[in-house]
Amino acid sequence: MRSASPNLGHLALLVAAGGLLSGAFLAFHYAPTFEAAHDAVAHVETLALGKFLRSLHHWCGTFALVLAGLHAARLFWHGEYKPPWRALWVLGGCTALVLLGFAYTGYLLAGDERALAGLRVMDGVAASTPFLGDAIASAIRGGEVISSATLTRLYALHAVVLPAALVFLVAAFVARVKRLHGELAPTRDARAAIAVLALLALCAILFPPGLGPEADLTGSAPPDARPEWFFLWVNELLHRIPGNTFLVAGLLPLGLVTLAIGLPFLARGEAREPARRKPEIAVAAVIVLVIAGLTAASFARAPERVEEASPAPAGTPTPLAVMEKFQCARCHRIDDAESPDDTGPPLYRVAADDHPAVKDLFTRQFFRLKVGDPRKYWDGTSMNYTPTRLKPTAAELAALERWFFGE
Amino acid sequence: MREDRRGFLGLLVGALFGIPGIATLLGARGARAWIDAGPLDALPDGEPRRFSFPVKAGWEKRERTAFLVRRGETVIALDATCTHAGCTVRMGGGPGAFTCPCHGGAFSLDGEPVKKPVTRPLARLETRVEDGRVKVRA
Repeated sequence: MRSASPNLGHLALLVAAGGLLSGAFLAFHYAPTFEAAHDAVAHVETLALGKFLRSLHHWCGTFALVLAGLHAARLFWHGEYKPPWRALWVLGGCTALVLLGFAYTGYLLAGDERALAGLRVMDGVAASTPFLGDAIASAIRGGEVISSATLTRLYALHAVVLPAALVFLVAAFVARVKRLHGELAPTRDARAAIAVLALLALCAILFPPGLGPEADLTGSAPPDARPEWFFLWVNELLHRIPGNTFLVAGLLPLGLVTLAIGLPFLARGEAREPARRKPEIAVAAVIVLVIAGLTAASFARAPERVEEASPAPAGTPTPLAVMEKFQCARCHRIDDAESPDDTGPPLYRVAADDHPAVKDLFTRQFFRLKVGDPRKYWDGTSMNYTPTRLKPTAAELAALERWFFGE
Repeated sequence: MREDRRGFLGLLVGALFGIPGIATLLGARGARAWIDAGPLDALPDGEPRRFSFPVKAGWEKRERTAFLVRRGETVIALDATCTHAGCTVRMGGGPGAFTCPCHGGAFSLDGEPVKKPVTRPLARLETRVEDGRVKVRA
């Protein structure tokens, strides 16, 4: 048997358990819609220890993947994927896939620009599948375009399906180990476990995942959008071999996963000593080195500077033109003009008006919130910018703000 | 010994991830701010004034409505939520100073119940007058 050094698989599972626990708490503070996700995540970070909790959860993903990867490398080196461990290797491989799924879907749930960019890449890869592309992509999206339905599907995967899969796989794994060895391998890694948890907590304190600007479904991806570290190599390949999305980002990773999990059935030699398995070790080393090289190259490459198409200077909109465009007068009285339907309060120049209570309430911040995005300020509002349902642009909002505050 | 270690690790994981988790659940209320409700002089004595203000509710902003009633140099703030079934009460319209449109219950100017089915007074928000300005605690 191997030396008494810590069982990295145990450590990976310990970290995964931490991910489940922290995730359960985070689920109390989350809503999977584009209207709410970013606000909800930002809100968690304002709560006591909330930022730490989210950072712990984030780092659980990375730690579990790295530990699982090292564990697999060690098993591979010692040839411990051969009988009688074949089923364990396959179960472990599936568990690693589930961990990858956790990290991947989790990254997309934050509702910020990076997450949306990731969603778009995923959508593009799915849509590039020959014949079935449309069907697969719309099944993932839950509709014709990326929307809150997409986010809700990913959340269901992340918080319901994958945890269930993880628990099932671990249970099957433990049952198999018991059949092989009669009992679970002794837990002789308490010291290593404490060290890993301490390192995890340290990473969580020093390197929180951060939250980018809120995703804009109608906007373009930010120029420095990058996937998570474990997909950087695919990103780099896509960059180097453009035009083969399905081959590079779909078939290649899928092929590698099949190769890795199916290893016990592909490399059937009896020998377990590394010295007698040189060809397969060489192939694995080349694959790992190529992936590591591509990842390093991706880190080294400066993010592409996409030339932003500057919006055409359409002249400064006048406040009255803006109110005309959004038909404010349908529900509000503007100055003294009549309104057909007095649903909303009269609009007057707030700062110039002698309404102390209103004036104090109507701060600029409140104005931008309420007028810039009424639904966000208050879900129950009937204010919806009939008939366009478009929100005012920053320039239009600024024009209204000047008018409101009598400038 | 083995069992001890496993229990210890469980405790460690539970503490590392559970303590921040529970802290976020307990800390969700956050600090309650004092909101400016305008100068005292703008409030007529003994006549309620409707006062709506945004409050934080999780990651959302919701509107909360109260009635400010000035009595001399002090001001009380009554939550507009009816204590019978949770509708928003209105000023006037019945035997009391406030009437609930849902079941016709009524409250006095001090928020005391005056007409069935209402039996409990309107909730009061904390208020104070500072430098001639009325402050309400959200």
